[in-house]
Amino acid sequence: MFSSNLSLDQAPPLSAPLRFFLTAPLFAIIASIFIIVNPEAMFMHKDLMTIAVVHLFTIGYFGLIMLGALQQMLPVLAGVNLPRPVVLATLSHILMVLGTLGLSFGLIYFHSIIMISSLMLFAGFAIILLPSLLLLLKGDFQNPTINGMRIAIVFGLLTVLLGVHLGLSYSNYNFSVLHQSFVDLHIAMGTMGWILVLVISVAFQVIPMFYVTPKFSKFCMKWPFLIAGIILFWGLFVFEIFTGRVVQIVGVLLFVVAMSAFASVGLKRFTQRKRPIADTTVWYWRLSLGSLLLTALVLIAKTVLVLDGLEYLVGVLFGFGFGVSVLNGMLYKIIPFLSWFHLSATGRFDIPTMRDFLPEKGAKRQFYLHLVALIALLISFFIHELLVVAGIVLLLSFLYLWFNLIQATKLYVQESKKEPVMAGGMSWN
Amino acid sequence: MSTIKEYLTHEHKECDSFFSDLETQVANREWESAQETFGKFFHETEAHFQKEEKVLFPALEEMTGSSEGPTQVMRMEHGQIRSAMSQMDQDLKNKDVDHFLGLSETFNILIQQHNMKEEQILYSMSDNALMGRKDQIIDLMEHVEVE
Ligand code: HEM
Ligand SMILES: [Fe+2]
Ligand SMILES: [Fe+2]
Repeated sequence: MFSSNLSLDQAPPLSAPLRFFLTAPLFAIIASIFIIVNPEAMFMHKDLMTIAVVHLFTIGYFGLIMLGALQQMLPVLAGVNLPRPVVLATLSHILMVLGTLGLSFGLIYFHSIIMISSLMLFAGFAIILLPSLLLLLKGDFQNPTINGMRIAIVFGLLTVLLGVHLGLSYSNYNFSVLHQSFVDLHIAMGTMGWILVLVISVAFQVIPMFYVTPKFSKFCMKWPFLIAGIILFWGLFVFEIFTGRVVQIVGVLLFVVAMSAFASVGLKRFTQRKRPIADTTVWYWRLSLGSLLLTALVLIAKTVLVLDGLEYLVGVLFGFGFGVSVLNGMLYKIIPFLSWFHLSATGRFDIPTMRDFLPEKGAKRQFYLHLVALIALLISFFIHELLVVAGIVLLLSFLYLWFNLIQATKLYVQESKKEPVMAGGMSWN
Repeated sequence: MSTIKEYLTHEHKECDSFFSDLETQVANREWESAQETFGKFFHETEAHFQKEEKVLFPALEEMTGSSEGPTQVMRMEHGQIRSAMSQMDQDLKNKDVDHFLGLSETFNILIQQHNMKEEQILYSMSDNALMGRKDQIIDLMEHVEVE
């Protein structure tokens, strides 16, 4: 009855996920500096600087944070734990850090290191994603989050595999005739299959749980499958098995419907909270879902009205407005909670509360900087000269975020050095 | 007759609703109603925990012949949650809004994660494993003496 791989055990050691959370902002900071140094490149589609910035965000920020969060969520969501969590985390983390730096600097300066960096990234992702996928497939439990995560992980691995292929093309500057098809599939799988499906699956659990809202409906819970179907359809289009403008428009509209359906139901949930307290993470969720809605609008303009040069807007709205916002909100919940949790597990009694680890004031100020950065990035689309300023605000917002996370960690370290107060220390781990 | 899962999940929802009332009242500094809500919230939660600890978990442990594993983790989490509740009680007495809200945030995540594991994993298992005795178990839980 209790299968052998079931453990309702609590969590991997804090150091396993924390290293991912604490290093991710570094890559966003490097990306901001790239933007400040070379703003014009951002408006040029396919500029290597732009591709580097895109990957500093998609791999360095989103990838690292989600790899950390997955380790943390598996026991809670699926009752499974990664084996040897610290060994896996250490290996994956080193490979991801070196790979991200190698890929981004390699694309711009030294093409010779692109290949090895791509392979390191593949290994770094796979070390966490493959065992997670196996555990999720084996597990005895089914729920919409688990189903969604399985789909997201499969697309994540495929995205990275395609990435290795693209990396190889760039490292020896030899592009196959199908290059653009591979790129389009890589983008669709990465953004819709991996990022969007993962956020949706996490939202199914996290929104009702943290904010005490009604659950997502049975129909909503099918979205990950529908999105997977749309991506397959899109794949047939990019490889020209289906052709024609109608197919293209239908494909994009399907993505648009999926994005806006999720965004609007999500936004509605935040108006139905039974816990009325609105901390900064609520605002991050709202901004994230609002940006997703706007992304859908811009995508319609781009495809149906055939407006060129909108890639920049899509990137800003989806990558920063949607992706970075939701991650920041998650970090602001996860890090103070885990700090509290691991201290409490050692039997301490008088532990700082979550708000001591992450004071609401600091979180809110950082959110405002983030919001200003988003607005400035959007205005820069119309006034290119402004992008330098936007880049500086962006840099400041990530520095502030990093500062907040480091303060929380410092308090954790300081507290964990104190002797447990309760005699004998009830151990909960 | 409902399943074990339905019966206990319903209690989780009731505790949730007391909890969000409590939190709102503290945020608005309505100390008197907060005290009163805390009383109900504490009693409901404690009664629910004891139903699990005195009836459901032992029944499951008997089936598996082991008191370690999942039920053990659930008991430990009850301990963590109880300790958070007793500190919330202290904050109410001291009228310490900030500390209370910092703690209630933690409490919410702890209890929600705990309930989720139970609802999605442990209760489903219980309904499968204790199928024949389901009504008896629910009846025993109805009549548990809360200490
Ligand atoms: C091993 C990891 C990866 C490598 C080596 C890699 C490599 C590449 C390369 C070389 C391109 C440029 C293709 C071209 O336009 O000719 C590209 C584009 C892109 N990749 Fe990746 N990628 C990786 C992982 C990812 C992941 C995980 C995502 C997540 C979403 C992602 C998202 C994108 C996007 C959005 C673009 C389009 C950028 C643009 O057109 O400006 N990539 N990738
Ligand atoms: Fe329980
Ligand atoms: Fe329970």
